Amino acid sequence: MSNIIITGCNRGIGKAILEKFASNGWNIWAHMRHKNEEFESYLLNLAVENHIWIKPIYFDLGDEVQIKESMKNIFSEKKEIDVLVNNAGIGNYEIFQRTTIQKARELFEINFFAPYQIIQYCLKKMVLQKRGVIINISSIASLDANSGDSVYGASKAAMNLLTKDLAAEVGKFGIRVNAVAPGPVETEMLERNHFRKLTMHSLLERIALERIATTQDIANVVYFLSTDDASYINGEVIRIDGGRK
Amino acid sequence: MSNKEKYVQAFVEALEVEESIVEGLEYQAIAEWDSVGHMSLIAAIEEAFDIMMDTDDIIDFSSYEKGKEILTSNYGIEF
Repeated sequence: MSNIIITGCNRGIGKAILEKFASNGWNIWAHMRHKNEEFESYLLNLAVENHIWIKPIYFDLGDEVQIKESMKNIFSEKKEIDVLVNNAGIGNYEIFQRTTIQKARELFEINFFAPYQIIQYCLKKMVLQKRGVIINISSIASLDANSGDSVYGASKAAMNLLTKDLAAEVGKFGIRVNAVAPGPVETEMLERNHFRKLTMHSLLERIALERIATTQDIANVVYFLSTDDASYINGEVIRIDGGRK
Repeated sequence: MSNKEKYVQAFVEALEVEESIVEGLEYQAIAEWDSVGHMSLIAAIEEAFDIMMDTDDIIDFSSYEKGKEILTSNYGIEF
């Protein structure tokens, strides 16, 4: 049985990734920001149904000390960490001139520095294991030019380059590092950040498949990248956008 | 196994060097202890002593002797 850490599990893409790995028999450390008894009970049922363990872990991505303590707790279990998925993040849809430097720092703190710290901890374990997979959830906002996505896109673009360079550094330890860059996905983040300002029509007219991605579409690619079926894919940022037009 | 033996063993296993050359080693003095070897060494030391080192300590870990100092002063490991 393999073990995975997934950040931001309680909704959206993270929840779909959680369900995908659970249904394939993986043990999971499921990160959320806040304790949620209803969700914990859901996790317990999911674990029982799939004959796995799922351990909820709680920390604020903006708090270095909390991250460190949580990682220490995971390490103290002396279990292998096969895969890390850095999914948790925050969005921002605002034109550059209306984005404060404080907001920009917050975006980088959560979308770049928090996963940076988590990767540093997990890598130590993976280096010892001489294997591991790290998958960062990026965004097409990091690859394409879109008004309103400049700072969010920059935070994800930083993650893309970290992904590529890290893959070059740690490949010799049998560790693969990749990112996926979804286009619009049916999530609350999309609701909050885009639907106020963009119509569904304007989103769809740029997507070849003429539909928004489901969270399962993203989870399927993340799962593939985690397995040996993707054993020679390393240092890539893979678009999952239904084809652009 | 004593702490010193565990410490030396971490060097031997992580850097794949003979035990006889470990004492007195310095970072980048041999090909095996390069930046990549350093990652393996820190991982091995953390595993051996069940600790999680701070990034500043990982950077300061510049020699066999300096490593012992750091482990003693910051992690309470006596040699």
